Amino acid sequence: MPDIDQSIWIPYQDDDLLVVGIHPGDDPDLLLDFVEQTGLSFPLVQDQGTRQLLSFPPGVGYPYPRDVIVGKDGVVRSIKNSFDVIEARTLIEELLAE
Amino acid sequence: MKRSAAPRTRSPVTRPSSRPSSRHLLLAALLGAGAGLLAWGCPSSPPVPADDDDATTPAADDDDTTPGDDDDSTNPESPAAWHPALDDLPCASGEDCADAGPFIEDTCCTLGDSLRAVATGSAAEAVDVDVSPNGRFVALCGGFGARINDLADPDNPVLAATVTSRCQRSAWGPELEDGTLVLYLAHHGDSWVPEPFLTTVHVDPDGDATQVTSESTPGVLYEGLRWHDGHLYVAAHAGGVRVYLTEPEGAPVHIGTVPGFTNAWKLDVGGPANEHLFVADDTRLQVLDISTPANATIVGGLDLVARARDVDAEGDRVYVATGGDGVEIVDISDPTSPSRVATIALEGSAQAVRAQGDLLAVAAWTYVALYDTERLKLIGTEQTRGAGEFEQDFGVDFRNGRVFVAEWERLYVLQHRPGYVAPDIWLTEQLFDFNAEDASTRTTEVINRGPLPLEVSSVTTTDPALTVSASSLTVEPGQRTDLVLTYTPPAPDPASQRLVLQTNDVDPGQIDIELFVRVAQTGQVNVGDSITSAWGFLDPTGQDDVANLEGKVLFLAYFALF
Repeated sequence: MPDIDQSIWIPYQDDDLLVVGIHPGDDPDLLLDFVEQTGLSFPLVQDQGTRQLLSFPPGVGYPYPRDVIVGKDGVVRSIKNSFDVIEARTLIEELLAE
Repeated sequence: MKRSAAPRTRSPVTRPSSRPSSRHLLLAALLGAGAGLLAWGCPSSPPVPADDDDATTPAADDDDTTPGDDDDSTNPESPAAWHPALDDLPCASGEDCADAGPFIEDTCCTLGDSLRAVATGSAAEAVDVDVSPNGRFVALCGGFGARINDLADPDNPVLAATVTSRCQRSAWGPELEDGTLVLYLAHHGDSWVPEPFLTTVHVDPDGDATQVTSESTPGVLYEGLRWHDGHLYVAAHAGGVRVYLTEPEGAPVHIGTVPGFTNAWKLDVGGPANEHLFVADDTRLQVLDISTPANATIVGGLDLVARARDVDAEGDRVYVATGGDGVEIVDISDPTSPSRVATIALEGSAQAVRAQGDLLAVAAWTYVALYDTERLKLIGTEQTRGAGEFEQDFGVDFRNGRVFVAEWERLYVLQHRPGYVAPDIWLTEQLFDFNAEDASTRTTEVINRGPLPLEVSSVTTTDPALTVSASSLTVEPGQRTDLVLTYTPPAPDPASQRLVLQTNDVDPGQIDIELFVRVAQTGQVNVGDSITSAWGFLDPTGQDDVANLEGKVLFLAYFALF
């Protein structure tokens, strides 16, 4: 998360890019504490179950972290559970240029 | 993460009335952008720490134990006893030996790798770690204060004391005549504890900690700390670098402030005669002459490729962690004219660095790396929490052959074993979704970050509906290869299956890797899908209207804290 903040959100926040951190559950205090200790600055939302885009049943392993990149046309272009800053930046710049 | 029932009291320090910091307001503006976003404000009660009661937590369950085999930590020279599969590891030879370390001649054919976890200790929301100058204690700053672990046996850290002041940074100061150590703690101010502060703590030889002073100056946001030769240097964001004269028994006395900083974050003392201070200042490394601390001045600097997260000076070099841009190595033989020597690109995100001699430890967020800085070689890696766990390594210290890691939930102690070499597997994807009705493929890259060939002796799935492109793999050091997983209907029952890789990576959890595969009809997002009204909660206007996302590139970062 700090890396997404530093490498994606801060450099591109003035472009047509929206970075959103999505945290499952309903404990905003826990999330807020993490933000303040680590200095994250991009918007965060709680995904409290009813709108889980990436839901995993119990016993299916650990689904996080998981990054989804969507183009301006609303089409999902990438889903990764490892963050490669160069790969992410390359794709984002391609999508911003479309 | 287990939690106890009642929240703890925060800092016992008495401070003036609450005042939100500028940092607080910035985050408030961003986070409060829509109704679907988190509300911002000072909560009525803080979250409960991960291991407030150490006896009830996963961290505590592991405290004083070795992550791997019980006997392994006490017998590092017999790594073959760690796992039977180690018997099949190839013997290093030739350049592999030369690359592995100075003691390779004696251990070339010994199995293992140069970093391995040997113990855990107490921490809570840890973001910084510092070993005391005498090596006896290690302090970890976190959201629930500083945890001080006793390192009388460094492979068996024992929680000695908790200082309840919420903090982000720490620095050890002088040792008093009776053996008491001085510890400084910094808190930058936030909605939990709005008032920033600089706290002085005394830690006696038994590990008992007493908070002796606390300073809170309006407008000052305390961040990085470093104590040197009777003076404490404090990075204070846009407020510059503050210099304090420290007295053994009293509060530090502010004797000067160096202006001219964008966002002074962390700092370290080094250079010829240790008369220079190196400051991570946003995207610039600033150099101060501190030969006369009260008159410290900026004498040089170097623009960085990205925002600096940490800085460490060792010999004639400074190492700067720059997140996903890796680590910059800067020559400071002339401190007034620092010059870039090299940049280490790495997988992950460099959050903290600590050098010792010609070795450099990096907390890379999801793992820890060790580099030979003379040859710019990666010589060891370790995932402290093992495959499939959410790991967040934010701080690192390096002392006497051991790497101390501030992971969000606990302290990890890693042992550096010169000359031990092994492959190191890294997978770009570890979870796979398939639509039950459609045949499709998913690809993961298998990367070998280690200095020996990676042998994946078998790749198997648990259902014939899922096949893989190779039954075995060999990946040479530094190389990568695709592994393609193909799904063909009908859907397996149960929907959740496994992809299992047997490897010769000796890190815990890496010999048998289980990747999770889910086949389902609904509730999943795949590449090529279009966003629907269900995505409206991402609407930055708070109207829950997916139309407001049109024309924007979305980067959605799912993460979890447990």
